Amino acid sequence: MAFREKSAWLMLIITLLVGGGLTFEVVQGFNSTSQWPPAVSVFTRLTMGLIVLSIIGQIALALVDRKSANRPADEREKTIQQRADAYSGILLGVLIVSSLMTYLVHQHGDLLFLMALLSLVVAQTAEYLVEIIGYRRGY
Amino acid sequence: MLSIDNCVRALREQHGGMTQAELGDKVNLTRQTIAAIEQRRYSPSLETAFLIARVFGQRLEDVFWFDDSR
Repeated sequence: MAFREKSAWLMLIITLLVGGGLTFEVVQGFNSTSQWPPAVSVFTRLTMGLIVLSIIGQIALALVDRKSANRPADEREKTIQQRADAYSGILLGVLIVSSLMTYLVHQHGDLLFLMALLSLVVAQTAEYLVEIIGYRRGY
Repeated sequence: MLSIDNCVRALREQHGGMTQAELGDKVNLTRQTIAAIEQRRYSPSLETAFLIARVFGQRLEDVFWFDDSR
């Protein structure tokens, strides 16, 4: 498995764990209190969780395979990454517009913020998935 | 499988059993990309195809060709 594929798997798992965990917690909280939690708290925990786990994971990956970690992406990897970026960008746009539409209906700023955060998590997850599919099928 | 066929694997074997990683180092590709080219799962750019042909001292069309049967 190529270094960048391992990296995509790692980031997918981290994003699913942190993003999925927080989403579950936010929905559970809403179900029990009928109120959305403060957006700043969720944002901080999501950002810090992703950053810290990514740094630790990427360092561990690089230590296992230093040569590949230092090597720039080759043409096939760049093509795969560009395609993943494109899909992810489209998905992010659709989800953000959906969030804005929800805001028009509910007029709830915290909900809009949380939905925008969730959109980022979903788009990022899709990006890693498209990358992995690309690496698996060859292009 | 893509329409462009090649004999990269055979040429590697003819050149002292050069590994995919060694060929990859010579043309700035990963071992996995060389494997994908050999398995016809990825068609390299024209520049890379020329580089691969040059490593083996061959003409481009002797290393890569269009498979009309597909």
